[in-house]
Amino acid sequence: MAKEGLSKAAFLEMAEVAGVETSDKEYLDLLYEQVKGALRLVSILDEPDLTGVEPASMYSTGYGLPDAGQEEG
Amino acid sequence: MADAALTQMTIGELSRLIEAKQVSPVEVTEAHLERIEAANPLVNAFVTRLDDHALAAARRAEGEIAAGDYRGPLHGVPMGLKDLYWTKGIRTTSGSTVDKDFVPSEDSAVAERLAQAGTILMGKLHTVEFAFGAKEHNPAYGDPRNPWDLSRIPGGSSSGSGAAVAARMLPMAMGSDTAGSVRQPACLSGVTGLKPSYGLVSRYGITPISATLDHAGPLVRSAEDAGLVMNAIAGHDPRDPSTVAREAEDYTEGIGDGIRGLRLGIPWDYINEAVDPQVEAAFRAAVEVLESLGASVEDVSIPEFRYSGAMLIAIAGTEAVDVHYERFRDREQAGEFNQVIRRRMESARFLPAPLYVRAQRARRLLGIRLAQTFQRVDLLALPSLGMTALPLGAETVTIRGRTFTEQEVITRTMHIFNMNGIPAISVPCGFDDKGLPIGLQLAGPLFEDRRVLRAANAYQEATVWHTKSPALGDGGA
Repeated sequence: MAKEGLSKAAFLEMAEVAGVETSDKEYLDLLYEQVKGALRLVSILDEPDLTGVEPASMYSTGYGLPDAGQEEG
Repeated sequence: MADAALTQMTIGELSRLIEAKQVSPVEVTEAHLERIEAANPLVNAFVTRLDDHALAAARRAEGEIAAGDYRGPLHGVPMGLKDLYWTKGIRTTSGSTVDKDFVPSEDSAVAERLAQAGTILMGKLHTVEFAFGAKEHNPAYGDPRNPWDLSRIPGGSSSGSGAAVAARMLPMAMGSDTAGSVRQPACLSGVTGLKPSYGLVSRYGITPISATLDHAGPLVRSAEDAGLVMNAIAGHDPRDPSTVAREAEDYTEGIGDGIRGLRLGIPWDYINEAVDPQVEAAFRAAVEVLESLGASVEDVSIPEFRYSGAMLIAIAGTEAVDVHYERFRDREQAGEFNQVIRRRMESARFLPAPLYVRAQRARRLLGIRLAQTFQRVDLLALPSLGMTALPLGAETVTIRGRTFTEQEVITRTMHIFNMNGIPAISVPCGFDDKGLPIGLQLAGPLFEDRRVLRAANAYQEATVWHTKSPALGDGGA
């Protein structure tokens, strides 16, 4: 889902569209590296088989801690 | 000269003296103010000191108790709040210059409840900016230091809370824990820190980071004290829709019942990926103590722990961006952030929305695995952290010859329990050869906070690590 191969040009375009404050070029360079690092780290979420697993939702206390034995992971 | 011995006492010990009128809240407050005067210039735990406010509150408490209106075990006990907790009429910076002039018009729910319990607010305590990190340099308010070694970090983001309790400036302080920010400073500063079950303690009036991961919890000197604080702060609050309407519990009830027959699960596969040999030795010794008290131990494996760091980036990052969205759009305000913190938060703006949902699904998968695991064992036990306190400014840590970034290891054993809101506590369990504290972490099923506290209390009744205090020029204890 998330790939680390984000080009600088694509990053800058996304920044513009997203309304990121773009006047500080040094900040943008560092942010670009941070984004690439984050995309690399989150790519591990491609691994688990999430078939049939509902998302945990805000304010549903316990986030998927079902009654014992209710679900098999 | 105030009685310095009062600053070495737990809440339980102080409250017994106060209730029996053997010591007054004013004497207790004066002793702690004297300690703050001596230790805070070294440790820098306070952003705002409230000496006059504290003395006035102590006099009121003294009058109430003298008149027979004793409110309970926190009455007349000094405490501090992480500067993320709103305090009516008292500046609340959230550790940021962005909020340097913010004076809330109302108290946070926890501040309100602690005031009702009769505590004495001594001041506001350092936090990493907007609590979005574990140790970042804070150019605006200075860096808190670890009382065990002033050249090292006290942990964070509840950095001032851990440092103040460890340095005996306070017997209790409140922190917040999104990925370990109560337990991690508790571990690195050598005190006890509880992240209660999600939904037990209102976050209303605590500057948020991540609505689905934020927890409020105490840093104290014993599991019993954590229970006493929970008795005051837990409870449904309609202003925080995450809180659950449950029957009030006494979190100290049965705390001394021991752990005979309790089954402990140890996720060695996850622990072994990054654990310092001295930490491992202290942890193994702690497990032996728990076994000697009647607990049984078995290995467990929770492979989904390995996704927790990625979940944290996707969930906490996205939710934090939402909190600060308008600020990031304002050039002047965006420039006032610590740029490391800003970058870390703002990077989440580039994560695709489906990733957030996928992270929430992985989070549920982890929850299912935890539920299955808690059918086999009653508690999970692991080292609070695989390391001890880093030097200020350190960016990497080497464990068994492998170098990690600070971010990779500084909360890896903690955010795994934020994802599903289960209760977890860190208690001191030893020191490394540099004299730095090591922590034992115990986690239980959702709303089994009392079980967690009971096990931690049993461990503390059998050991002395939690009674140790740093020298700070006066020898320690």
